[in-house]
Amino acid sequence: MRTHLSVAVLGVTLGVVISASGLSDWGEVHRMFSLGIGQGGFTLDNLRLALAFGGAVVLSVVGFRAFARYDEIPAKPVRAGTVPGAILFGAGWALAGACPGAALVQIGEGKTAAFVSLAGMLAGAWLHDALRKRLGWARHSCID
Amino acid sequence: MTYWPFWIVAPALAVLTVGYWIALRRPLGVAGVLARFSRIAEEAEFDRGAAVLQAEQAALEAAMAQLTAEAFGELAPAGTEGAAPLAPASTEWPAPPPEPAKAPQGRVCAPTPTLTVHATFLVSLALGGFVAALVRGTFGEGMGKSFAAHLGAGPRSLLALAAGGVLVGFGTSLCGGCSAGHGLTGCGRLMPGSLLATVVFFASAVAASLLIGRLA
Amino acid sequence: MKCPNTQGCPLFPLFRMKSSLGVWQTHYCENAFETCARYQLAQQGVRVPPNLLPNGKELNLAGLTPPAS
Repeated sequence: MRTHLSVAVLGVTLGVVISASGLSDWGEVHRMFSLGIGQGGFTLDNLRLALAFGGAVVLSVVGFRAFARYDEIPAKPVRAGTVPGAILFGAGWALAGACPGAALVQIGEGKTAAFVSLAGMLAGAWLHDALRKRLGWARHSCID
Repeated sequence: MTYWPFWIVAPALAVLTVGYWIALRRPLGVAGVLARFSRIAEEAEFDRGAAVLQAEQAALEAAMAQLTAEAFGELAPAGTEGAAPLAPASTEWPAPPPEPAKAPQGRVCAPTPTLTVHATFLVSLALGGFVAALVRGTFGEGMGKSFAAHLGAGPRSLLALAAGGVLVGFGTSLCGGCSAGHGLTGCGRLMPGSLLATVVFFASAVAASLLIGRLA
Repeated sequence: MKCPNTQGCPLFPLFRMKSSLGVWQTHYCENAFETCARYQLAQQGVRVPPNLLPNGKELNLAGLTPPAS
């Protein structure tokens, strides 16, 4: 029960931040990934989300170092699927205008078209797992 | 539409990323959680197996003792706890490995949460969107002008969303993380796989967006 | 440790409950990991049940004889 509560509080907060930042807005995501090209150049407005994301990464590094220095967070080494997977994910994010978290936020915002995006994500995940089993692509740990 | 400036969004995301780990001892990530629901039967089976490991210590010890005896032959008789196990007649078992030297101890990752906890997480993300949209007064407003301008308004736009979704679902599963899992948590810990994935997915998204800007 | 999948393997906390349970680790993880049922399933891309022991038996609390008192 306590886990449910913690996860819910964090989830709602994250959802609010994603929504309020524009990460669930197709146009804003498109702007973020256009880097000002065809949008009117390197203005603060155009680079806002890219700066937000980059800034979040930098601050996370600092935060983990400060508060979780000796913690054992599961490793993410480079694997065979890292580069091809990332290429597909990036392309999909640009097309759908949402990453998995943002798609859920969009549904909450009443953007009914996001149900299509979400269905696609579930289908894509299922496809990968089916392929993995069919072709015997190894899992490298018991927890992922 | 006025969205939060970057100097509010960046710290907010960072606090949530680090805070999620500290509060739950789980790395923040959405793609993996969502993927579980694309193969729900197998994941429910996994949860059942995981529940066994949450049983009470004494019961687990007893069960393990029995299974170990079945697998390796008789263990040391009661009263010699801590001694090396008796070796079966034909093989030499080395002593169990010594405890590693004590480095400063940090938090360890918690076991995989159950499907219900994960469902709560996904629903609460949507709830967060609902609350924010309500406050802004934009609930139900649709995907916006830029979306319509680039992808149209009819079936073509929905096809694009579906295709994008499939790429996201497949790609995140293949590379082992999403914008939060790799981009925030992974990069936050300077994990090589995450750093590479983040650079690559960002570059790919830029290329795709520029293409969409040209074609659509 | 020889087995490449040891990080996060849920059996280690079990093995550490008693020193006598270290046989599992020495036999499988540090030596014959390719014969470990968990490793074999992972190689096939299948999700490994958390209570699967390296010898293929499932750790289960139901139906085990209670310890002789």
